[in-house]
Amino acid sequence: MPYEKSPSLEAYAEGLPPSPPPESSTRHRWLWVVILVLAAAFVGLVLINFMRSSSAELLVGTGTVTGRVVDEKNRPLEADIFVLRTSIEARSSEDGSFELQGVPAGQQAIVVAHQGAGREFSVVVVAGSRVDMGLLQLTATAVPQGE
Amino acid sequence: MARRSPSIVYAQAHIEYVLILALMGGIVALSLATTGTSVRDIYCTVAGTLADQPASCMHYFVEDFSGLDAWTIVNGNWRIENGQLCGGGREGRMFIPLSYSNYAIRIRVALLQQGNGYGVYFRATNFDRVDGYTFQFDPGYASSFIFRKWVRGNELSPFAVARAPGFNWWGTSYQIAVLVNGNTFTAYVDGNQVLTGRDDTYTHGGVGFRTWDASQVCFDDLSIDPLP
Repeated sequence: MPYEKSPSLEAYAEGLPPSPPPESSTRHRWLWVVILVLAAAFVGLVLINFMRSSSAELLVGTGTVTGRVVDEKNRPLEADIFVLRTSIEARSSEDGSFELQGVPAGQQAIVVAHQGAGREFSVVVVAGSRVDMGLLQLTATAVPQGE
Repeated sequence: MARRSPSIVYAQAHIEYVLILALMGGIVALSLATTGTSVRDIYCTVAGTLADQPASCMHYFVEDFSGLDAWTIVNGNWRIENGQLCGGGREGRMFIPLSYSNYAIRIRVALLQQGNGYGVYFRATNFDRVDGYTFQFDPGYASSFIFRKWVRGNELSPFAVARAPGFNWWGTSYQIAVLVNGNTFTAYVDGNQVLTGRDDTYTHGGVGFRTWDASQVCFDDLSIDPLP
Protein backbone atom coordinates (compact mmCIF):
# COMPACT_ATOMS: atom_id res chain seq x y z
CA MET A 1 0.00 0.00 0.00
CA PRO A 2 1.49 3.40 -0.88
CA TYR A 3 2.15 5.69 2.02
CA GLU A 4 -0.38 8.31 0.90
CA LYS A 5 -3.19 5.68 0.92
CA SER A 6 -2.45 4.30 4.34
CA PRO A 7 -5.05 5.18 7.06
CA SER A 8 -4.32 8.09 9.33
CA LEU A 9 -4.18 7.76 13.06
CA GLU A 10 -7.45 9.76 13.26
CA ALA A 11 -9.28 6.78 11.84
CA TYR A 12 -8.35 4.88 14.95
CA ALA A 13 -9.18 7.62 17.42
CA GLU A 14 -11.93 5.42 18.92
CA GLY A 15 -9.93 2.25 18.86
CA LEU A 16 -9.60 -0.51 16.30
CA PRO A 17 -12.66 -1.08 14.09
CA PRO A 18 -14.30 -4.52 14.58
CA SER A 19 -12.74 -7.03 12.31
CA PRO A 20 -15.09 -8.42 9.62
CA PRO A 21 -16.22 -11.99 10.23
CA PRO A 22 -13.88 -14.40 8.54
CA GLU A 23 -15.13 -15.45 5.12
CA SER A 24 -14.86 -19.09 6.07
CA SER A 25 -17.48 -18.87 8.82
CA THR A 26 -20.30 -18.02 6.37
CA ARG A 27 -19.21 -20.81 4.05
CA HIS A 28 -18.92 -23.11 7.01
CA ARG A 29 -22.52 -22.36 8.03
CA TRP A 30 -23.80 -23.06 4.51
CA LEU A 31 -21.90 -26.31 4.36
CA TRP A 32 -23.71 -27.49 7.47
CA VAL A 33 -27.09 -26.42 6.06
CA VAL A 34 -26.34 -28.54 2.98
CA ILE A 35 -25.18 -31.44 5.16
CA LEU A 36 -28.36 -31.28 7.26
CA VAL A 37 -30.61 -31.20 4.17
CA LEU A 38 -28.75 -34.14 2.62
CA ALA A 39 -28.82 -36.04 5.90
CA ALA A 40 -32.60 -35.53 6.14
CA ALA A 41 -33.05 -36.82 2.59
CA PHE A 42 -30.78 -39.78 3.35
CA VAL A 43 -32.69 -40.72 6.49
CA GLY A 44 -35.99 -40.39 4.60
CA LEU A 45 -34.81 -42.76 1.87
CA VAL A 46 -33.48 -45.23 4.44
CA LEU A 47 -36.90 -45.22 6.11
CA ILE A 48 -38.72 -45.73 2.79
CA ASN A 49 -36.51 -48.70 1.94
CA PHE A 50 -36.84 -50.14 5.40
CA MET A 51 -40.64 -49.86 5.35
CA ARG A 52 -40.65 -51.81 2.11
CA SER A 53 -38.50 -54.58 3.52
CA SER A 54 -39.70 -57.70 5.28
CA SER A 55 -37.91 -56.51 8.39
CA ALA A 56 -40.44 -53.71 8.77
CA GLU A 57 -43.26 -56.24 8.88
CA LEU A 58 -41.69 -57.78 11.94
CA LEU A 59 -42.06 -54.46 13.73
CA VAL A 60 -45.83 -54.83 13.57
CA GLY A 61 -45.57 -58.26 15.18
CA THR A 62 -46.26 -61.80 14.07
CA GLY A 63 -48.99 -64.33 14.56
CA THR A 64 -49.68 -68.01 14.02
CA VAL A 65 -51.74 -69.42 11.14
CA THR A 66 -53.32 -72.86 11.25
CA GLY A 67 -55.54 -74.79 8.85
CA ARG A 68 -56.20 -78.12 7.24
CA VAL A 69 -55.54 -79.04 3.61
CA VAL A 70 -57.92 -81.32 1.75
CA ASP A 71 -58.18 -82.47 -1.86
CA GLU A 72 -61.13 -82.09 -4.21
CA LYS A 73 -62.94 -84.91 -2.39
CA ASN A 74 -62.25 -83.38 1.03
CA ARG A 75 -59.66 -86.03 1.88
CA PRO A 76 -56.70 -84.86 4.03
CA LEU A 77 -53.66 -83.99 1.99
CA GLU A 78 -49.96 -83.71 2.81
CA ALA A 79 -49.06 -80.48 1.08
CA ASP A 80 -46.46 -77.75 1.12
CA ILE A 81 -47.52 -74.45 2.65
CA PHE A 82 -45.79 -71.16 1.82
CA VAL A 83 -46.26 -67.60 2.96
CA LEU A 84 -45.67 -65.37 -0.06
CA ARG A 85 -42.95 -62.71 0.21
CA THR A 86 -41.41 -64.52 3.18
CA SER A 87 -39.22 -67.58 3.57
CA ILE A 88 -41.78 -69.23 5.84
CA GLU A 89 -42.84 -72.67 4.70
CA ALA A 90 -44.17 -75.83 6.28
CA ARG A 91 -45.72 -79.15 5.35
CA SER A 92 -49.11 -80.34 6.45
CA SER A 93 -49.26 -83.58 8.40
CA GLU A 94 -51.07 -86.78 7.42
CA ASP A 95 -54.41 -85.40 8.59
CA GLY A 96 -53.81 -82.27 6.48
CA SER A 97 -53.31 -79.95 9.43
CA PHE A 98 -50.56 -77.36 9.51
CA GLU A 99 -49.29 -74.56 11.68
CA LEU A 100 -47.23 -71.58 10.51
CA GLN A 101 -45.51 -69.55 13.20
CA GLY A 102 -43.96 -66.11 12.95
CA VAL A 103 -46.19 -64.92 10.13
CA PRO A 104 -46.03 -61.11 9.86
CA ALA A 105 -49.22 -59.38 10.95
CA GLY A 106 -51.53 -57.97 8.29
CA GLN A 107 -52.95 -59.31 5.04
CA GLN A 108 -50.91 -62.30 3.90
CA ALA A 109 -51.06 -64.68 0.96
CA ILE A 110 -50.75 -68.37 1.82
CA VAL A 111 -49.97 -70.82 -0.97
CA VAL A 112 -50.89 -74.47 -0.60
CA ALA A 113 -49.14 -76.75 -3.11
CA HIS A 114 -49.12 -80.43 -3.91
CA GLN A 115 -47.28 -82.22 -6.72
CA GLY A 116 -46.35 -79.05 -8.57
CA ALA A 117 -49.72 -77.35 -8.42
CA GLY A 118 -50.76 -74.73 -5.91
CA ARG A 119 -53.55 -72.47 -4.83
CA GLU A 120 -53.36 -69.09 -3.14
CA PHE A 121 -55.44 -68.12 -0.12
CA SER A 122 -55.69 -64.81 1.67
CA VAL A 123 -55.62 -64.41 5.44
CA VAL A 124 -55.45 -61.51 7.87
CA VAL A 125 -52.91 -62.23 10.59
CA VAL A 126 -53.23 -60.48 13.94
CA ALA A 127 -50.07 -59.91 15.96
CA GLY A 128 -49.80 -62.26 18.91
CA SER A 129 -52.90 -64.20 17.85
CA ARG A 130 -53.72 -67.53 16.27
CA VAL A 131 -55.78 -67.52 13.08
CA ASP A 132 -57.50 -70.70 11.91
CA MET A 133 -58.05 -70.73 8.13
CA GLY A 134 -60.26 -73.82 8.36
CA LEU A 135 -60.37 -76.21 5.41
CA LEU A 136 -58.19 -75.26 2.44
CA GLN A 137 -59.24 -77.23 -0.61
CA LEU A 138 -56.58 -77.86 -3.23
CA THR A 139 -57.91 -78.19 -6.76
CA ALA A 140 -56.17 -78.95 -10.03
CA THR A 141 -54.60 -76.01 -11.84
CA ALA A 142 -53.68 -77.54 -15.21
CA VAL A 143 -57.23 -77.27 -16.51
CA PRO A 144 -60.06 -74.80 -15.82
CA GLN A 145 -62.19 -75.64 -12.79
CA GLY A 146 -65.90 -75.27 -12.18
CA GLU A 147 -67.01 -75.52 -15.78
CA MET B 1 -11.91 -16.33 22.31
CA ALA B 2 -9.43 -18.84 20.98
CA ARG B 3 -8.99 -18.73 17.23
CA ARG B 4 -8.68 -21.95 15.32
CA SER B 5 -5.54 -22.26 13.35
CA PRO B 6 -5.92 -22.12 9.55
CA SER B 7 -4.83 -25.73 9.26
CA ILE B 8 -7.69 -26.88 11.55
CA VAL B 9 -10.25 -24.83 9.57
CA TYR B 10 -8.89 -26.28 6.35
CA ALA B 11 -9.08 -29.85 7.66
CA GLN B 12 -12.62 -29.33 8.97
CA ALA B 13 -13.78 -27.99 5.61
CA HIS B 14 -12.37 -31.12 4.02
CA ILE B 15 -14.31 -33.33 6.41
CA GLU B 16 -17.50 -31.45 5.57
CA TYR B 17 -16.96 -31.89 1.84
CA VAL B 18 -16.26 -35.58 2.34
CA LEU B 19 -19.45 -35.83 4.40
CA ILE B 20 -21.46 -34.11 1.66
CA LEU B 21 -20.05 -36.41 -1.00
CA ALA B 22 -20.75 -39.47 1.13
CA LEU B 23 -24.34 -38.36 1.76
CA MET B 24 -24.87 -37.63 -1.93
CA GLY B 25 -23.52 -41.08 -2.83
CA GLY B 26 -25.83 -42.69 -0.28
CA ILE B 27 -28.82 -40.71 -1.55
CA VAL B 28 -28.12 -41.74 -5.15
CA ALA B 29 -27.77 -45.41 -4.17
CA LEU B 30 -30.94 -45.35 -2.06
CA SER B 31 -32.86 -43.48 -4.78
CA LEU B 32 -31.89 -46.14 -7.31
CA ALA B 33 -32.95 -48.88 -4.90
CA THR B 34 -36.22 -47.12 -4.13
CA THR B 35 -37.19 -46.54 -7.74
CA GLY B 36 -35.77 -49.81 -9.09
CA THR B 37 -33.55 -47.90 -11.49
CA SER B 38 -30.20 -49.32 -12.48
CA VAL B 39 -27.03 -47.39 -13.23
CA ARG B 40 -27.30 -48.82 -16.74
CA ASP B 41 -30.75 -47.23 -17.11
CA ILE B 42 -29.35 -43.85 -16.14
CA TYR B 43 -26.40 -44.21 -18.49
CA CYS B 44 -28.67 -45.20 -21.36
CA THR B 45 -31.14 -42.41 -20.66
CA VAL B 46 -28.39 -39.79 -20.52
CA ALA B 47 -26.60 -41.23 -23.54
CA GLY B 48 -29.85 -41.40 -25.51
CA THR B 49 -30.63 -37.80 -24.65
CA LEU B 50 -27.23 -36.52 -25.71
CA ALA B 51 -26.82 -38.62 -28.85
CA ASP B 52 -28.07 -41.74 -30.58
CA GLN B 53 -28.84 -44.61 -28.28
CA PRO B 54 -25.71 -46.78 -27.85
CA ALA B 55 -26.09 -50.30 -29.21
CA SER B 56 -25.53 -51.74 -25.76
CA CYS B 57 -28.62 -49.89 -24.54
CA MET B 58 -31.00 -51.26 -27.15
CA HIS B 59 -31.35 -54.67 -25.49
CA TYR B 60 -30.90 -56.26 -22.10
CA PHE B 61 -30.35 -59.62 -23.78
CA VAL B 62 -30.38 -60.99 -27.33
CA GLU B 63 -30.37 -64.65 -28.32
CA ASP B 64 -30.32 -66.13 -31.83
CA PHE B 65 -30.04 -69.68 -30.51
CA SER B 66 -26.77 -70.53 -32.10
CA GLY B 67 -26.00 -72.11 -28.71
CA LEU B 68 -27.35 -72.51 -25.22
CA ASP B 69 -24.35 -71.38 -23.19
CA ALA B 70 -26.19 -68.50 -21.56
CA TRP B 71 -29.05 -70.68 -20.35
CA THR B 72 -29.71 -72.64 -17.20
CA ILE B 73 -31.54 -75.79 -18.22
CA VAL B 74 -33.42 -77.13 -15.20
CA ASN B 75 -35.11 -80.01 -16.98
CA GLY B 76 -36.58 -81.04 -20.31
CA ASN B 77 -35.43 -81.99 -23.74
CA TRP B 78 -34.05 -78.68 -25.04
CA ARG B 79 -31.93 -78.71 -28.18
CA ILE B 80 -30.84 -76.54 -31.10
CA GLU B 81 -32.37 -77.59 -34.42
CA ASN B 82 -31.63 -75.60 -37.59
CA GLY B 83 -30.61 -72.58 -35.54
CA GLN B 84 -33.76 -72.66 -33.44
CA LEU B 85 -34.41 -73.65 -29.86
CA CYS B 86 -36.71 -76.68 -29.74
CA GLY B 87 -38.11 -78.53 -26.77
CA GLY B 88 -40.89 -80.76 -25.66
CA GLY B 89 -42.04 -84.25 -25.00
CA ARG B 90 -42.10 -83.67 -21.24
CA GLU B 91 -41.88 -80.98 -18.59
CA GLY B 92 -39.04 -78.67 -19.53
CA ARG B 93 -37.78 -75.42 -18.04
CA MET B 94 -34.82 -73.25 -18.96
CA PHE B 95 -33.87 -69.76 -17.85
CA ILE B 96 -31.54 -66.83 -18.21
CA PRO B 97 -30.95 -64.76 -15.08
CA LEU B 98 -31.74 -61.04 -15.18
CA SER B 99 -31.92 -58.49 -12.40
CA TYR B 100 -34.27 -56.11 -14.19
CA SER B 101 -37.81 -55.35 -13.11
CA ASN B 102 -39.43 -54.07 -16.27
CA TYR B 103 -38.78 -55.20 -19.80
CA ALA B 104 -40.28 -56.31 -23.09
CA ILE B 105 -39.76 -59.92 -24.16
CA ARG B 106 -39.90 -60.36 -27.91
CA ILE B 107 -39.79 -63.74 -29.69
CA ARG B 108 -39.75 -63.52 -33.47
CA VAL B 109 -40.54 -67.19 -34.03
CA ALA B 110 -42.69 -69.30 -31.72
CA LEU B 111 -44.05 -72.40 -33.40
CA LEU B 112 -46.12 -74.98 -31.51
CA GLN B 113 -46.10 -78.13 -33.59
CA GLN B 114 -48.18 -80.28 -31.29
CA GLY B 115 -49.39 -80.64 -27.72
CA ASN B 116 -50.94 -78.57 -24.98
CA GLY B 117 -48.79 -75.48 -25.28
CA TYR B 118 -45.71 -73.63 -24.06
CA GLY B 119 -44.84 -70.96 -21.56
CA VAL B 120 -42.58 -67.93 -21.38
CA TYR B 121 -41.26 -67.23 -17.89
CA PHE B 122 -40.62 -63.72 -16.65
CA ARG B 123 -39.42 -62.24 -13.36
CA ALA B 124 -38.13 -65.73 -12.63
CA THR B 125 -35.76 -66.41 -9.73
CA ASN B 126 -34.64 -69.53 -7.82
CA PHE B 127 -34.67 -71.56 -11.01
CA ASP B 128 -34.51 -74.97 -9.32
CA ARG B 129 -37.71 -74.14 -7.41
CA VAL B 130 -38.83 -71.31 -9.59
CA ASP B 131 -40.62 -68.22 -8.32
CA GLY B 132 -42.01 -66.00 -11.04
CA TYR B 133 -44.66 -65.84 -13.73
CA THR B 134 -45.43 -67.45 -17.07
CA PHE B 135 -47.33 -66.29 -20.08
CA GLN B 136 -48.77 -69.46 -21.55
CA PHE B 137 -49.83 -70.14 -25.10
CA ASP B 138 -52.14 -72.83 -23.84
CA PRO B 139 -54.60 -74.69 -26.08
CA GLY B 140 -54.66 -77.32 -23.31
CA TYR B 141 -56.28 -74.85 -20.91
CA ALA B 142 -59.57 -74.75 -22.80
CA SER B 143 -57.87 -72.92 -25.70
CA SER B 144 -56.62 -69.95 -23.71
CA PHE B 145 -53.85 -67.44 -23.24
CA ILE B 146 -53.08 -67.33 -19.54
CA PHE B 147 -50.78 -65.76 -16.96
CA ARG B 148 -49.72 -67.99 -14.10
CA LYS B 149 -47.78 -67.34 -10.92
CA TRP B 150 -45.12 -69.79 -9.75
CA VAL B 151 -44.25 -70.33 -6.10
CA ARG B 152 -41.25 -72.55 -5.21
CA GLY B 153 -41.69 -74.55 -8.39
CA ASN B 154 -45.47 -74.92 -8.08
CA GLU B 155 -47.83 -73.45 -10.67
CA LEU B 156 -50.83 -71.61 -9.30
CA SER B 157 -54.21 -71.21 -10.92
CA PRO B 158 -54.07 -68.53 -13.64
CA PHE B 159 -54.61 -64.95 -12.53
CA ALA B 160 -55.53 -63.89 -16.05
CA VAL B 161 -57.25 -65.96 -18.73
CA ALA B 162 -58.35 -65.05 -22.25
CA ARG B 163 -60.26 -67.72 -24.12
CA ALA B 164 -59.52 -68.02 -27.85
CA PRO B 165 -61.53 -71.03 -29.01
CA GLY B 166 -61.12 -70.50 -32.74
CA PHE B 167 -57.43 -69.68 -32.64
CA ASN B 168 -55.08 -71.59 -34.91
CA TRP B 169 -52.77 -72.94 -32.20
CA TRP B 170 -50.65 -75.48 -34.09
CA GLY B 171 -48.33 -75.38 -37.07
CA THR B 172 -48.20 -71.59 -37.44
CA SER B 173 -45.29 -69.43 -36.40
CA TYR B 174 -46.24 -66.41 -34.30
CA GLN B 175 -44.38 -63.43 -32.95
CA ILE B 176 -44.84 -63.31 -29.21
CA ALA B 177 -44.27 -60.27 -27.01
CA VAL B 178 -44.75 -59.88 -23.28
CA LEU B 179 -44.48 -56.45 -21.71
CA VAL B 180 -43.60 -56.57 -18.03
CA ASN B 181 -44.25 -53.21 -16.43
CA GLY B 182 -44.72 -52.78 -12.67
CA ASN B 183 -47.59 -55.00 -11.60
CA THR B 184 -49.11 -55.11 -15.08
CA PHE B 185 -48.27 -57.70 -17.71
CA THR B 186 -49.49 -57.61 -21.30
CA ALA B 187 -49.11 -60.30 -23.93
CA TYR B 188 -49.20 -59.82 -27.70
CA VAL B 189 -49.42 -62.36 -30.50
CA ASP B 190 -48.38 -61.03 -33.90
CA GLY B 191 -48.72 -57.52 -32.51
CA ASN B 192 -52.28 -58.04 -31.27
CA GLN B 193 -52.90 -57.71 -27.55
CA VAL B 194 -54.35 -61.00 -26.30
CA LEU B 195 -54.06 -60.81 -22.52
CA THR B 196 -53.49 -58.43 -19.62
CA GLY B 197 -52.92 -59.45 -16.02
CA ARG B 198 -51.91 -57.87 -12.75
CA ASP B 199 -49.97 -59.20 -9.80
CA ASP B 200 -47.47 -57.64 -7.43
CA THR B 201 -45.80 -60.62 -5.80
CA TYR B 202 -42.53 -60.60 -7.73
CA THR B 203 -40.59 -57.48 -8.62
CA HIS B 204 -37.67 -58.62 -10.75
CA GLY B 205 -36.02 -61.64 -12.32
CA GLY B 206 -35.06 -63.50 -15.44
CA VAL B 207 -36.75 -64.99 -18.45
CA GLY B 208 -37.25 -68.59 -19.54
CA PHE B 209 -39.19 -71.11 -21.53
CA ARG B 210 -41.44 -73.94 -20.50
CA THR B 211 -42.90 -77.03 -22.16
CA TRP B 212 -45.06 -79.77 -20.71
CA ASP B 213 -46.75 -83.03 -21.62
CA ALA B 214 -46.36 -83.92 -25.29
CA SER B 215 -45.81 -80.36 -26.53
CA GLN B 216 -43.28 -79.82 -29.30
CA VAL B 217 -42.28 -76.20 -29.80
CA CYS B 218 -39.50 -74.22 -31.45
CA PHE B 219 -38.39 -70.64 -30.82
CA ASP B 220 -36.02 -68.27 -32.56
CA ASP B 221 -34.66 -64.76 -32.11
CA LEU B 222 -35.38 -63.75 -28.56
CA SER B 223 -34.70 -60.24 -27.35
CA ILE B 224 -35.32 -58.70 -23.99
CA ASP B 225 -35.46 -54.96 -24.26
CA PRO B 226 -36.01 -51.95 -22.05
CA LEU B 227 -39.61 -50.81 -22.16
CA PRO B 228 -40.30 -48.22 -24.83
